[in-house]
Amino acid sequence: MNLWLYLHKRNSGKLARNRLKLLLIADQLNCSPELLEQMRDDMVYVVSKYMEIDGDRVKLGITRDSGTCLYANIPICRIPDKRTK
Amino acid sequence: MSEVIVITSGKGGVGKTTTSANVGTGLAILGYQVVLIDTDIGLRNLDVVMGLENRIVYNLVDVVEGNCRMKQALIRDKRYSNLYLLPSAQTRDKTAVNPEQMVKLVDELRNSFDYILLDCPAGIEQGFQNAIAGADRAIVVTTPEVSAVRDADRIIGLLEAVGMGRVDLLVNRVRMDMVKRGDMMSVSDVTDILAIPVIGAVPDDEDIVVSSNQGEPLTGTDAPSGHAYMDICKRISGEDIPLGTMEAGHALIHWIRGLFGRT
Repeated sequence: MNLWLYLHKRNSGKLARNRLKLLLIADQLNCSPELLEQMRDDMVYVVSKYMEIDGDRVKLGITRDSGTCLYANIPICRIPDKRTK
Repeated sequence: MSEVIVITSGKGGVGKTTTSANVGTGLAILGYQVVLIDTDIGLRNLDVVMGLENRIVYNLVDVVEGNCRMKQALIRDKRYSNLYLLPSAQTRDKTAVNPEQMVKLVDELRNSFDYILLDCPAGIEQGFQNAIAGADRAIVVTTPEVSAVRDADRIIGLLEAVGMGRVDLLVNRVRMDMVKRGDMMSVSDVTDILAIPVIGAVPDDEDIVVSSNQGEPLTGTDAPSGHAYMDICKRISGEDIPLGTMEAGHALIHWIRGLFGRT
C-alpha cells in the first residue's frame, strides 16, 4: 500500500493532466465531472454489448476544429465474428 | 505599425505583472518604443515591479477623465529611455473606466509607440473587459497547475468569443527538476490541453523574486528567466527562436555557477 502511494505520488504530473482533461470537458459542456463519468460508463455499457472494448482506456474529448464536437475514443479488444455462429 | 498586446490569465498570482514588466523591458532592449499600461484599477502593482512607484503624479484614470494630458501621466523608465509606464489609479475601482474609453486611450498611444502592453487584472469582470477591448493580440499566462490551466482555458474561450486576433500561451514557473521526475505537468502537457500556440516558457527562478524586490526587471540579465523572457520578446517581434533551448543550455550554466557557489 505504501509503495502504491509512493508510486502514485511520484506521478502527480500525470494525475494533474488527467484530472484537468476531464475538468475542461466538464467546464466546456457545462456539466459536472460526475455526470461526465456516468455518460462514459453508459457508453462503455452500450458498446460492450456489441464488441469487446477496453473500458479503462476510453477517452472523452472536445474538439473545436469544425464546430464544437464531443468525441469518444474507445479502444476495441476484439470484434466477435458473428459469421461463425 | 504598432501592436497592442494584453497580458492576461484569469487566475491571480501566476505572474501577469512580472511578465508585463519583463516583456516590456525586453522589447525596449530590442530597440522598440514601448509603453506598459497597468489596467488593474484599485490594485496598482506594475509601478512597484518596475521600481517607478515614487515617480507617479498622474494615472490612467486622470488621463481618461481629462485631468491631465497623456504625456504628463507617462513615466519614463529608470534604465531605458524608450520604455514608459502608464500607472493605474490606486484609490478608484474598475468602474472608473469603460471599454470604449480604453480603446480611445490605446489608440492615442498607437502613434508614438511600437508596442503597447496591457497588464490585465485577474478575473473576468469589467477590469478584464476593459483590458482586452483595445488589444490586437493576447498573451495568456499560466503555470503548470490544474487551477491555473483551467482558468487559462476559460480565458482563451472568452478571447476567442470576442474575436481576439491572436492568442499565445506563456507557461510560467516551470520547474524542470519536477517535470523530469513526473511531478509537474510539462510545457507540452499544458500546450496540448489548451491547444493554442506557445510563445515561451519561463523557469521558476529565485532571481525573479530578487528582481521584483529591487524593482528592476531581469530581462537582459544572465538569469535563466532573463534569457527566457528575452527569447519571448524576440518571438513577439517576429523572430524565429526555437522553443526548449533554454532548458538544456542553462542547466549547464547553472551547474557551472553552482561549482563556484553562485546560483
